[in-house]
Amino acid sequence: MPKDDGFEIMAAIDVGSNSLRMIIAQVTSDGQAIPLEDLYKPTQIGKDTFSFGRIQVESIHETCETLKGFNRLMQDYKIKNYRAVSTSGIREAQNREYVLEQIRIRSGLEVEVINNAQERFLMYKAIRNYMSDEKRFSGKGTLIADVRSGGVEISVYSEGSLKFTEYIKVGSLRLREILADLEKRTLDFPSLMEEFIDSRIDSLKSILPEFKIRNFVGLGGELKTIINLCIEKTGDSNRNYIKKDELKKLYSKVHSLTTSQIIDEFGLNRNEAEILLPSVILFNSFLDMTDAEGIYAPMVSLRHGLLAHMADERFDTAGMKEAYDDIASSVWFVGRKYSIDKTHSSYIEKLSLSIFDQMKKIHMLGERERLYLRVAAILHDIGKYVNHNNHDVHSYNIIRFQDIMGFSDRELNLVANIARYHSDEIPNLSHDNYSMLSSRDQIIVSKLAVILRVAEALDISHKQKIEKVEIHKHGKELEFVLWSKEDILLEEWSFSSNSNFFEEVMGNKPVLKQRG
Amino acid sequence: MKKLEYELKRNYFNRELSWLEFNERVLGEACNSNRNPIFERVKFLSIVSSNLDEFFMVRVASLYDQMLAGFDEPDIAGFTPREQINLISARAYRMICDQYSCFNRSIIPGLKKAKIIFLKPEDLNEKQKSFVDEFYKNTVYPVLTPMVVDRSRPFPLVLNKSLNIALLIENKSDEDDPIFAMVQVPSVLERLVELPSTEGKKCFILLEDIIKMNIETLFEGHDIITMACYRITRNTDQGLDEEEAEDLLEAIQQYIKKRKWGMVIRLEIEHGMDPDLLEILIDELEAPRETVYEIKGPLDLTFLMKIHSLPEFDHLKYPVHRQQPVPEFWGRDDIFEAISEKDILIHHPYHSFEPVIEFVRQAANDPKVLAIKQTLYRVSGNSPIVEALAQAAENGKQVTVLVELKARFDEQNNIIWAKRLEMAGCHVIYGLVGLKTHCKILLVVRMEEDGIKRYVHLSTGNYNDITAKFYTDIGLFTSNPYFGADASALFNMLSGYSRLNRMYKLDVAPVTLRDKFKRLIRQEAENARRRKKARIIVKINSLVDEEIINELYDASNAGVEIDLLVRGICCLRPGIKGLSENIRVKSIVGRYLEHSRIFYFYNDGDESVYLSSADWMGRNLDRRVEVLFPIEDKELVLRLKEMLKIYLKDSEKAKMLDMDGNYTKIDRRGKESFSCQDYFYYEAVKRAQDIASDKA
Repeated sequence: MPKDDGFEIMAAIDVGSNSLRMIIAQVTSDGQAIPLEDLYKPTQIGKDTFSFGRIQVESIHETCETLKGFNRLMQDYKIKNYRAVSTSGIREAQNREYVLEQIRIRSGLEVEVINNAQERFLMYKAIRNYMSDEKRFSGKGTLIADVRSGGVEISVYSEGSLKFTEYIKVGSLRLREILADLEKRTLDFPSLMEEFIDSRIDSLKSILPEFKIRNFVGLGGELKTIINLCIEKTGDSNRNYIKKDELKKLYSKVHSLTTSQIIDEFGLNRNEAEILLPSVILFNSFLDMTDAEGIYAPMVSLRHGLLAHMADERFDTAGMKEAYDDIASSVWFVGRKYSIDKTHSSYIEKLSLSIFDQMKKIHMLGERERLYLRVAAILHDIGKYVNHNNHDVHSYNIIRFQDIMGFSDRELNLVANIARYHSDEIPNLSHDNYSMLSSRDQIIVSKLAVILRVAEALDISHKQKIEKVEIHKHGKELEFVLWSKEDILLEEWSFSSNSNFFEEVMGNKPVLKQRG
Repeated sequence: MKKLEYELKRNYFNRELSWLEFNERVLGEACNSNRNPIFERVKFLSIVSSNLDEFFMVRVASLYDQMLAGFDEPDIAGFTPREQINLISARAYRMICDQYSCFNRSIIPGLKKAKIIFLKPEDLNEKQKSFVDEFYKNTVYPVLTPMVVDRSRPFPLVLNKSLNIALLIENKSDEDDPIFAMVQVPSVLERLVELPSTEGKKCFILLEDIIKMNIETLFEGHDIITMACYRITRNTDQGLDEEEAEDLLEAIQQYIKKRKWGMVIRLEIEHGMDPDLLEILIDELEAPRETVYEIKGPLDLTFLMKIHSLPEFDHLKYPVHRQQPVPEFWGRDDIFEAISEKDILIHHPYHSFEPVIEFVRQAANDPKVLAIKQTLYRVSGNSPIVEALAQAAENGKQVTVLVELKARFDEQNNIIWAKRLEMAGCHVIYGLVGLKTHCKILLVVRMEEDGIKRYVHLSTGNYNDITAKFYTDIGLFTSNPYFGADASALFNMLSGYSRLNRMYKLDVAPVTLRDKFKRLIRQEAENARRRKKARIIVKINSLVDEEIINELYDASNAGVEIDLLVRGICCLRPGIKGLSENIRVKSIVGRYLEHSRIFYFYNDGDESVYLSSADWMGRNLDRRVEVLFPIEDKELVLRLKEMLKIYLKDSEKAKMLDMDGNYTKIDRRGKESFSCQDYFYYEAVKRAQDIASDKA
């Protein structure tokens, strides 16, 4: 195997609603990816799921066959490191577990189902990695509209951090399937579709303009078609920017055509033609809500993001730290929505991470777990938005239903559990939320919860009295040296009430010492 | 100048008649006693026969299919299938007469001079007679199956291309109604039987004559009234319904079994066959009357190939041309390293095919190689390429082989190799339903110090070490990463893993190839209209496609100078004012079978050269997977340009097509004749010697 300072061949597979895609690339230690193979095979998965609720047998066969081929191609490069993900097409299918099992057995590939938050994270990574002009991001008010088959993901960034995000179930293919019956009953299907879309995105009309959005980044497979149609005359095939008036022109043209006319007029195949109309309407509607003069289309997709993420994980590049900071900033967006005490949360975030880092040899957890702790620390008091009493339970409930960029359902559940045990109660197998976790996850929750509890204890007064904590190991004792010039009696008391649980989980007895 | 039988209609030549003119040029080589040694002429004459066999089985059969299906659309030259059949019959008949006149008047005397003598039964001396008696008794008689047709025994099934003796024998119960009988000349025995002889002569008799001499032994008690040889050709190219075939392999196996029983589309009979006997044959075989060819000599001259391969007659053949080493690979142990340095072009048969085999062999045994992918269309028996691929799989490489089972008349052979490869652990795929995979491409994926590197070999000819000795083809070795990426994408498409993405360098039929050719021709036309220099030189095997021909007419009218080297069929009519006055068409038929496809465009000074597996035929552009690849190395572009110039200079084996469809000799204007094939050979020798002495 190649050394760490060299390169590795990796594969990223996207089992999407419209197509099955795989990219195989040579990833070097600085995170650069040279694509070696890029495969694409259309699929009916999305159509099946959005119109019947289940993936049809025929589509399952085809998917398994294609993925088997993908796997074979991976063998050509002796690939060990691959990631295959599926999105709404499989996620929402009633028979998804059977489908995944079939794929596992017949193609030998492990396909994970990811949620919107993970998809958003991967798209975000893709953009970060592939966009040459970073300014488009850091500049004022950037909207990223990812028009997918199953839904549209809207994110607003400003001054480098996430300000707003929303997932709306009005994907191009989904719209087609929902409204399929109506197409035959109206002469003006485009207007009907537009009204329907309007009804779904109405709430955004009052919110988005506030952000003064100047940059519009578009994502989604149909953008390629849209660009091709917009620029046909100028013939610049490498363009990745659509001017507003070009889109408007296409919009009014598409608006007056039936699907078969679109096929003839633009030389598209039926699949492409069918989703062109909803895509154009969606981009047009969103563009109208901003001050942007056009759509920047970096032409990246999920598999590029997957690859970038795998590269970061494999080589521990700077990209990983950036990504975690981005996630934290999107978590702060959630926190603000629920009016958390920013000073306290940020203090707890810092303190718990400091404890975590100093105890690495004791808890033996990794970077990803550190991220769980960080997110739980920021959000631990989020339940106070509902009620101060039982706010730990409320925190648990609220966190479970958040979209946290890059977090799978399992990971979100871990974070919710950690927050659940930050104050009064400690993990207990009689709690359903805890007992349903795997035993490994129970340990992760307990270890991280105990660190969070200690940090919380050290700021029980919410006055940030302790400047820093130093931890020293003496035999079975773990000495916490607290640097503070103030009276920390309350903190000491609260700390010691946690010492039994701490010793039970970490195997070391915590003792306190104040310095000042 | 002879006038052709058919009336010229519209702006195109009929492809079948044009093909027959090609075969006529092969026959011309057989007749050319000034230039060609007798053994080579014997070979050419044999090829004329095997060519005709294939032509009838495939092309004429298809016309009968069309006609019987009630299809009477005229072709681009304006002839309906019925008209074409009539024209073909007339033209083929004349050709066969010429062929046998050549055989009787030129080949037989020529061989006699070389002390090779064909004897008839009446010419045998006593010694030879007793040899024949012995031979018949011990060897021939046991494998004969005489068949008699009467009320209880129906007319037997006659095998495609089998040689038979038909007889009428005496009917003891009814004198006026003789009995029909026949015996197949066994195909398990050699047709040519060598007789004992003296004075350094070699004497031969044909197997059917031996059987005729002893025919009474088969029908004892019956008098023989009359007997004569006949041979039939059946329709064999029955379209294969691929959509319905669950498993392509199985379908082809079925198809091979099925195709013995197609309709009779040619009945060759021995000169002087009794009319009654002929009537019975026509009746029973359901052979249309125009399919009957009376032959003045032995039927089926393909046995002459045996004469050609007799040992110890090298002095009556072309001087030996040894295939030369490729200078760029000279003294290089590491073939990958050599390719990494620059693109390498090889020209078969002047250059040896060995580097291609060596490339696969090294790949099979190189620990850095991860995967090998290759298309195989026609391979030789005991193909070293197949061996190397199997070896690679056994060494743990990922080997993907696309075996094209539908390579015409080669199916049986290909199935055997496909199985051999599968046993060794190769991933064998059989191509896309409905599309023959005709492109020749070989990809080696290698894990090197700084990452994955791909090596590609692309060629105009098959991966066949035997045909590479007498087909002219050009191959390119490259490590250009764009070619590598394209090759991968192509194999992904062929394996069914992926739709074809945008290609960097290659153009692929049936996706972009036709449009690419049209664009390239149009670009020249456009340049000519802008009063810029414009030039097209193309070397292909067949030019049939109407759309391409029209583009060429258009370019000619725009003022583009066009030189076409079309070895075989050419449906384009050159030299017509207002249509094709700037187009010249030449055909080279010589010692080696011209097979390379080269496309040159002046391109406003940025000269571009492409090579391809495809001809300009509909089937290549629409119904096959073909590849066109550019030559990017400037030095190689110049070499190919020079090569085309040499081809155009040929005045020995080249013939010029005129506007009436005749091929005529090049007017040398008193200069010495020039053979491009000889020139290429001596050039290859010279370069190899230069390199050898340099290194020494």
